[in-house]
Amino acid sequence: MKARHDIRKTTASALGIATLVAAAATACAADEGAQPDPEVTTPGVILGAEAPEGGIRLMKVLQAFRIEGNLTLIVTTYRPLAADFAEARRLARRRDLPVLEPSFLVGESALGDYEILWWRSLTPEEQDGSP
Amino acid sequence: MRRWRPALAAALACLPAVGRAAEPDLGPSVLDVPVKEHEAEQGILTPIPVSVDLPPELGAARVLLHYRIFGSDRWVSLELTQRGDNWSGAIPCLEVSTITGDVLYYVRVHDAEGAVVAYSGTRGAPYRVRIVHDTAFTEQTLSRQRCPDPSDCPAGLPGCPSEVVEAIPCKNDRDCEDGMTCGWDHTCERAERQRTRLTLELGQELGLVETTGACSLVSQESRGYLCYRERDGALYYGVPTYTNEPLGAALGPTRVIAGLDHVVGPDATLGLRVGFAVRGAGPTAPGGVDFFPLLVEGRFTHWFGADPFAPRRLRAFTVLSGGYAMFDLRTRTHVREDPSLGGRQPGNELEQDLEVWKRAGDAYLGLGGGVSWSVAGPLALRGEVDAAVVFPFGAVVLTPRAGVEVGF
Repeated sequence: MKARHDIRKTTASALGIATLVAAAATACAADEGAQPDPEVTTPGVILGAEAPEGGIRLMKVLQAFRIEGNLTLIVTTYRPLAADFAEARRLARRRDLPVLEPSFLVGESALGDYEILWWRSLTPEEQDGSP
Repeated sequence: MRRWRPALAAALACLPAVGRAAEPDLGPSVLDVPVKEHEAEQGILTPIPVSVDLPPELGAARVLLHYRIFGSDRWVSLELTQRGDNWSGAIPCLEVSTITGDVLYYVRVHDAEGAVVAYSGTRGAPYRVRIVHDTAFTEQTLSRQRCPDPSDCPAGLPGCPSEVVEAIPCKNDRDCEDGMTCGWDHTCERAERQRTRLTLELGQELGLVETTGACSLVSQESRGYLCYRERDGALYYGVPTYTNEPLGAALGPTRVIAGLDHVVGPDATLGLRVGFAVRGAGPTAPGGVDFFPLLVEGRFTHWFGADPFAPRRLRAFTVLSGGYAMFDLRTRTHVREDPSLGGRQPGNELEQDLEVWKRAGDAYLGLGGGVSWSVAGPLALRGEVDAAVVFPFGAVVLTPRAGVEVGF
């Protein structure tokens, strides 16, 4: 099992240059603060996991907890299957994905290979467990 | 007929403050002369000597003789030469020439600053010397003096005719005659300067806004920022991480600005501007101070070029300004949410773009420049660009302005 945390897309090249220019212009270079990445247990994180039927299944973590030491997730799964993780990352940013299972319990061990694709804070409905 | 030769040799006494109702108020002293001395008669081709005795306490620095030959409408000025308390000179022989008729003249005394401190005769009531033909004189009274060859005695040499004065000294407009005004070089001149200008302009304010940390709760509560999600327009109250963001180019209010400038120096004006924002007011945070659309500005303008207020087509200027105004500046920024804090606001993406409003103000200091292009009479078009530093709610505001001005 491996988790690939490659969702930080800071567009370092363009933004970095602009930031340097701006910092030079204002003579006050601010130091960036810590930028924590979402973990698999972070509510709102969107995962892509290999589906048994093939393809990548997208799911949003609503809640995470441990049962007898095993990480268990309550997730919302989405209907579209991505062909690969690149497409999954693109799909993860869409807010209009049709829901497959609003609330689905899954153990981390059952996820297989997965990747953290994105994060979006929970809506009030998701917080209530009825997305 | 009274004849006095070799013409008028006026020994003038200076009497204190003998004002005449019809005379202009030129100063404390009037050089008074008995009425009988106001007219004289002499022959042709003879200079008209003029002599004035002045008390030292008058402070005379220059004494000018202004005369007009019969048939001419032009007054010519000569400078009298000082010898002790006496100032003397002569209307040149060649000017008198063979033209019979009246030669008119008067004398004005200037102090070291150019102000007229005394006078004898005026342009309205001058001395009068009647030039008559030699046949009107008896052999005893006929002067044998005739015009010298000018090359023998050039004007300006001691003992020779006086040099014509081209620049009449003055201290202010009262010291000048014939519709002339006192120039900044303290000489009278015929120039129609525009000393006051009324302006009406339209200004579009543009800004540079610091967007790093702009959308944190602290910034929105205490630094004049408000942030909205571009996706749905909701007020943003998430937990952004602190990332370096570039300065945001911002659009600010559009203002109509009326102004007044008045000349305070050879190339400087002081002015006042009052503006009103007709567009561009931003949202106000709950409990915040509403946008106040008024702009009040004082300004000092330096105008380029020699004699910039004389009639001319194009004028360029640079301006230093300061005043009061609120600047609502709208830009955008990019924020990255801190997911470890759980997502305080529903629906925030890990990274998203926000619309940022910055209410900068309320004071500013600016520097700018522009041109004024005369189009018809006193009417001119003007264009100007100012850059201002706004505080305490900081921003840099750039304002192109365009409009019209009327000078008078």
